[in-house]
Amino acid sequence: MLQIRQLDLRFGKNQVLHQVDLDVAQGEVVALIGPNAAGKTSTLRTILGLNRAAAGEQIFEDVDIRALPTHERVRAGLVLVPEGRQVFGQSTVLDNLMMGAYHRADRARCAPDLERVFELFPRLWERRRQKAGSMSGGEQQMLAIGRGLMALPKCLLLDEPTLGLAPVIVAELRKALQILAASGLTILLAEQNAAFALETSQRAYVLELGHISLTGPSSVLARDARVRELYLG
Amino acid sequence: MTRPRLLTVAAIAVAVMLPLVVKSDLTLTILVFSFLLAMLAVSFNLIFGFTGQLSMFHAAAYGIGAYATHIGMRDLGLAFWPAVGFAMALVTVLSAIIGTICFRFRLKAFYFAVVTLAFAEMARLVAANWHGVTNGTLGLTLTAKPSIGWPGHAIAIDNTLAWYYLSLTALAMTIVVCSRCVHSWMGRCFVAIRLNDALGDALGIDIFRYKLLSFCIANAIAAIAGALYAHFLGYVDPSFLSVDQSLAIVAMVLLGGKGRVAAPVVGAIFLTLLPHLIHFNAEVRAIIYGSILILVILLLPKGIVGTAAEWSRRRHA
Repeated sequence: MLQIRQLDLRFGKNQVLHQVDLDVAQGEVVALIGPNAAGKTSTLRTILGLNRAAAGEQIFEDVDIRALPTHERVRAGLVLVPEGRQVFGQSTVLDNLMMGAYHRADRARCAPDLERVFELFPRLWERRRQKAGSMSGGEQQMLAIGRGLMALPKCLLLDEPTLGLAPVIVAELRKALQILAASGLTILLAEQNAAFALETSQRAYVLELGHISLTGPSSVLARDARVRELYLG
Repeated sequence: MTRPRLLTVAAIAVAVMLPLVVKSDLTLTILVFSFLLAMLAVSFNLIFGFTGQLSMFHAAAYGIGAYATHIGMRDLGLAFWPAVGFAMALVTVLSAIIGTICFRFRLKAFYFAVVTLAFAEMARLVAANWHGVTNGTLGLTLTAKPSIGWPGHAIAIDNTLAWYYLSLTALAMTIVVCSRCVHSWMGRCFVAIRLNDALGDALGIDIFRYKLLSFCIANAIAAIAGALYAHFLGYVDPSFLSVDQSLAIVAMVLLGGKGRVAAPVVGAIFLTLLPHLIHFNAEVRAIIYGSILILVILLLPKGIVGTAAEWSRRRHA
């Protein structure tokens, strides 16, 4: 579904990504793990068109998306849940969710999708009239994911969803992601928390200093000596 | 009906009845000026209060609207309303060009303000120096008066009372149009851009397009306000496009309360009436006027309407 080939990204003189190859198949959950500043966020932002790649191919559903601006990639079904649980803090939970659906032609009829989000995250229903900024970090993360779902993604790009969250909330998120994966949603998950990422995904890539250093099925990587030593402690 | 809407409708009803009680031509004249400036402030609120972009081009759009309407009648032989349409079209095209330049280069906050200010100054200098067309700094005397209706059944807008109702209608229509914009999906995008444009970008909002839309709509309405104001006054000169005028509009919006569609009306009426209520010499009046402005902004950071709304909510809660 998503094919990234030989992707190079530069910020001025600094090369951030070096010939990154990445594939995500339909219905797959793929993890992108690696330490801080390895280039995980940059990779996702480049796939969404928020960063302009210096070189490489970007193909989504057999279409070359290199030249497409961000809003057209979102329309095509690539949806990012940015890191740091970004929400419109002064707007209500409901308004935040609706912002995810804004580009849909059928946005007037998105009530069933709202219901699905509330089913997945019942807490958002309880807090739907509350200002998003007044919720806890975990709830804001759920809101950010819910907003992403409202965009009806074909491929959901999740950037560090567990960052700074309590273990209880992380467990809740894992369950939610498993439900989404079981429903057939394609997910690309960038995570520092390798244990969480490898458990949730089928395949994984290890990104180090802008290079893909290792790739394989998540269950194999979880037993890999190097990965265990560096990322699983 | 929601409370703010109820209040707006009530205010319009009072305004409609007012001439039955108020017979003073001077009072009505001041009210016409305040309604037309309110139109300007309400439209500015679209780009400033909702989309969060401090445009300094608003007075220029207003001034160009005034000049272009006159030029449309004088040189193109148009009637009054088609000439207003011509002015709107011209201002929209100019706004699209300026907006494209500013927003393509992702100019934000003060950078956007400074660049739009430069374009506004350019427009003012053209108005001041293009003697053949604008009569330079002396300005133009405008004798044309609009009329309403159709040929044979037209009502000439040639007295203060007629102008009062025309400007009130124009203001009400502006509020309706802006309210429609703000409560649509377009309006959600405007607000998203103000609150967090990086996040809006990531969500797939075409930031460029919505900033440009907001800028063009606001300026096109300003052009109508300028055309009406100048023809009511009977005069237009380059000071219409001045920085002072732009800052006065900012003050009206801040005083009324930004981010509420009709709130700038209160600021516009307040600022237009105030100088007439202070019966002192000109120099003392300027000092008192300035002091009141500073005090209100210091004491009511959410504007008159914003503060009143909060106060009434607390009383009802």
